[in-house]
Amino acid sequence: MKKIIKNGKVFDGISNKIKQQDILIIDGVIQNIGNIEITGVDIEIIDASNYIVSPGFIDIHSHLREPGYEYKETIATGTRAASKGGFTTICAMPTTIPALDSKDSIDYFKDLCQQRSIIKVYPIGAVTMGREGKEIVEMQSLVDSGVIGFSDDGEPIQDPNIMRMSLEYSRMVSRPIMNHCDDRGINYRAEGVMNDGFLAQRLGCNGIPNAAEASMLSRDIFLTELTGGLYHACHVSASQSVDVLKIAKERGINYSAEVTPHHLTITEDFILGPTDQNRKQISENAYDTFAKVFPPLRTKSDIQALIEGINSDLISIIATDHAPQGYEDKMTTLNQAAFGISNFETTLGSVLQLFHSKDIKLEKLLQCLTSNPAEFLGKKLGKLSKGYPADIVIFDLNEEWEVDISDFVSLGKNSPLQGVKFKGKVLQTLVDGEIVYSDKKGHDG
Amino acid sequence: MILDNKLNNLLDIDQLTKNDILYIFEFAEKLSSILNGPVKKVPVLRGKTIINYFSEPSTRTRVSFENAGKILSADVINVSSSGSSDEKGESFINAVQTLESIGADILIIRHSDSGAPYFVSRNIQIPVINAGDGSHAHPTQTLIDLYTVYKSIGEIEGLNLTILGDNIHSRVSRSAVLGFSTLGAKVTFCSPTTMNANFLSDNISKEDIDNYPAVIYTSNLKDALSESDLIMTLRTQFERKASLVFPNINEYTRLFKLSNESLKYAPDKAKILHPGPMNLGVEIDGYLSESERSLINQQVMNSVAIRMALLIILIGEHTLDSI
Repeated sequence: MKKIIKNGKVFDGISNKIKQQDILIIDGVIQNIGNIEITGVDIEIIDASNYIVSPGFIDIHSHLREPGYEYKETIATGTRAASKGGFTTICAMPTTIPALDSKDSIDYFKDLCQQRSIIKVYPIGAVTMGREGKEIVEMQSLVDSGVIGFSDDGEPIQDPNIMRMSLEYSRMVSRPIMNHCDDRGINYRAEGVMNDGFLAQRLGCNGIPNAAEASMLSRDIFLTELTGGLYHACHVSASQSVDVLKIAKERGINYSAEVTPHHLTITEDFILGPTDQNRKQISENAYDTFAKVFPPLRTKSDIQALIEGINSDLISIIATDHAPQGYEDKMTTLNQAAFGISNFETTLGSVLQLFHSKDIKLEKLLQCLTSNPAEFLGKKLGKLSKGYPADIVIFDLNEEWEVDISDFVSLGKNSPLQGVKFKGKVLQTLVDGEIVYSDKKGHDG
Repeated sequence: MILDNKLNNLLDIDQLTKNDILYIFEFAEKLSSILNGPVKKVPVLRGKTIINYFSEPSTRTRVSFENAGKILSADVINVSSSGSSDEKGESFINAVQTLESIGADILIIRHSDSGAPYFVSRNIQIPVINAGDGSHAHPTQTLIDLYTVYKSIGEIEGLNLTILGDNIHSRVSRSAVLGFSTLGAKVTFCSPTTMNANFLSDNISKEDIDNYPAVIYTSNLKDALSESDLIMTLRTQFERKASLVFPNINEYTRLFKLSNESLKYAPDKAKILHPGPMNLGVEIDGYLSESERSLINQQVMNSVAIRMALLIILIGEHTLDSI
């Protein structure tokens, strides 16, 4: 089975320069890349003229909700939504029932993925049993079962000794601890619902201060220095956190960090509603639960710091934190509503805003979505080179479209971006050389 | 005289201009004659159904709305979350949509979550009045307070209002700032720093200065009272004790209680307001609430007239001229 992708503007994840090239795929593996003359008739040609051809996107932080919360998302719908967003590999958080905290639950999850997923899925194991923050899981068994890291996800590790011990242990199992930094003591005993500051006060809402994130991140960074453990900071959102990472880098502390598309592009003003974001007169559309996400949407100055964090390599990974929720999870008051944004299908459009606004170079954005997360996973992924699997996304950098949540493939329709206009759209996604998603308008191929 | 903007609901004071507020006062003034007359019943809202949906305990606000509706001959139904289908796990939105389908013409909502009336308002067709949402807003209370001051002092422009106490958890103070500022009063907050909604003063960004009235904050009671025309004491919210907002009652009362002694810091003409319910001996000494300086009883009396006016404006056929 042969395929050739012709005339695309190729980002290969190695040279980090985009240039026109052809890619020859045989039996799902990249055989050759360059200017290739086609010979023979049994070859499928995909014309990618004028389009970007990139390694498929790799998401190291998402939620598939299965098993346990199939009304929010399933492996089938989640992986299809991801493929529509250009993702060919995703990592699923252990926020399932049962939590992914044992060899059995991980084997079961992998079986389900085998049957139902259309892209590559790697599980993330819990750090502690039941994600309760008390007893560390059998980390080596979980690594042997295939987890790529450990996280208690929405339950940040509050106990510093648990964090210290798991970091110590991570050296032995060679997979990182991925912590969601939020000091519950600072965050109103976890009752905060949005960013702390003027707007939260104006709306009478409990705020989640930047300090709740940055203080725990500081603790983790210095524990990483102390232990020599493997540490990954999930979805940093606060400008102070970027400052902490800067100190970590200056001290030569080994860490990795991710940021989400929403923290990079939209502010807390989305709590005021999708359109009429007037701080002076609060409209009926305010207290929009679709903009409730954890960590919360922050401010323009935080966004600026996060962009600088990417441009100075303090943050090297863009991860979606795709968090699909059911209708009833969001159809309530801001206090009662679940956190989370359904993100797979808007990620490319969101982050390309930063390219179009000249805040971040295209090559840098693509590194953060492909080769950098591949390096984090330690897998032969995320590059277009001979011998690599043909996990590829083809996208149009300039096609304009408008977000309509009712078009989402994901069961989670919870996006604050309803009606937002984007420039840049996924046209085709290939996993191991097979087309798993094709834009309905289609193109040659 | 007409409203500047048609009012479809009342969620907070920021929907109202100065002119709108004065219009509501004039309406209330006309209605006061009914309240003071021999037969306290007029058929102005006959055939209309008002539902009070209160998911938090309330006596004065609920009874005042109920009485306002009954005087106007509306049918008033009270729903509280205890004893309702809330206890069977029915979702909040289903509950209010059911009340709309049953035939309510207006919903009066009290809820412990900030923003709950906004959420309801965008999901049902009938008008909604916010009767207090979490720590966010209590617009009818503010209209009552403004009306009380307007009736007893007159012009509000240029008055100094001092709000004493826990403003960070207070929906009354949030709406009061908007309302009193709209009518030209200057607002000073006085509380322990732990009870101060700090956006109101030093922590506000340049961009937001235009988005909010200028207010002064101090934790010195003497400074706060020295130029007061109006002193509003807020209820100390003991149910929020877990927030550790002050070390103990003794220290709080010593520094912040309004008493005969601390009242000496204020000009003699200064009047006292309290949105109730009061913790006598904590934020205010009991005898002060009964003194000639207190407007607290007028606040309660005026509440019915203001709420009658709002009900007619939102669901009635009458205008100011035809009432």
